[in-house]
Amino acid sequence: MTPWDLFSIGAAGALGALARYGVGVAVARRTSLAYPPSTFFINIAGAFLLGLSAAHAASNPGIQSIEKNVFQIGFLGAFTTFSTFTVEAVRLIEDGEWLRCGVYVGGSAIVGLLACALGFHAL
Amino acid sequence: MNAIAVAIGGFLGALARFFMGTWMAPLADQTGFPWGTLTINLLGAFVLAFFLTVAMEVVAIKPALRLGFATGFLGAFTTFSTFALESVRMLEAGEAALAGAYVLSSLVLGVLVSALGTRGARMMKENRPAALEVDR
Repeated sequence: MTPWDLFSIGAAGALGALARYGVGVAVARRTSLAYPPSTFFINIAGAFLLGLSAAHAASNPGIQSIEKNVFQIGFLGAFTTFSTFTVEAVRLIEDGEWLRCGVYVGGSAIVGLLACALGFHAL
Repeated sequence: MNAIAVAIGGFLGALARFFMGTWMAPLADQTGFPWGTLTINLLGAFVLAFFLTVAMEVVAIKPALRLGFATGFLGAFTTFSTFALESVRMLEAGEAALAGAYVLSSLVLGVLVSALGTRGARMMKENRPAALEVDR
C-alpha cells in the first residue's frame, strides 16, 4: 500500500459519499417520502455494480488491485451505506410503520443480494 | 460547505473502513465469516443512531458538521454493497447456513444497535435538564 493507493481509496470514498448525498437531496426534492426510497435505490444499485465489478476484476487480474481499491472499496463502499439503512428502519418502527419497516429491511436484503448476484453473472 | 463536509467525511470514512477491514481480514480468513464488515456495520449503525439523536434532540450541531460526520464519515464507513457481495459469495460456495447467519445477524443486530443508540442518546437528554438549569 503506497500513500497514493491510500489517497485513491479516500478520494473515491469522498466521491461515493458525495454521490449518495446528491441522490438523497434529489430524491427528497421530488418525493414527499424523504426516506427510505433514496437509501434503498442507492444500496441496490451499488450491490449490482459491485457484483458486476467483482466478476470483471476476477477475469482481468491485471487491473484487479486498482479496480478493487478505488471502485469497489472506495467508491461503492462509500456510496452504499448500512448505518443509514438501520437508522431509517428504527425511525419507521418509531413512526409505528412496522409493516413498512419489515418490507424495507427484508426487501433491501433480498433485492440487494439478487441484484448483486445478477451483476456478478451478467458478464 | 455541506458538500465539502460530506466529501471530507467520505474520504476519512472509506479509509477507516479499509484499515479496519484489513486489520480484521486474518480473522475473517480463518473463520470464513466476514467479521470485519459485520463489526464495521454494527459499530457504524450504533454510532450513527446515537449521534443523529443527539444532534436532533439534545444539542444543536451545525449542519455541515452533522452532514460531514453522519452522511460523510459514517455513511462511507459502513457499507451495504460489500455485505451483499459477501453474502452472495457464501451462498454460491454452498455455505447457505453461514450466509443466512450473516444476513440475519447483520439485519437484526443492526436494527437493534441502532435502537440502542437512539435510546442511549435519549437517556442523556433526560439526564441533561438539571445541568442546563444550572447553566441558566
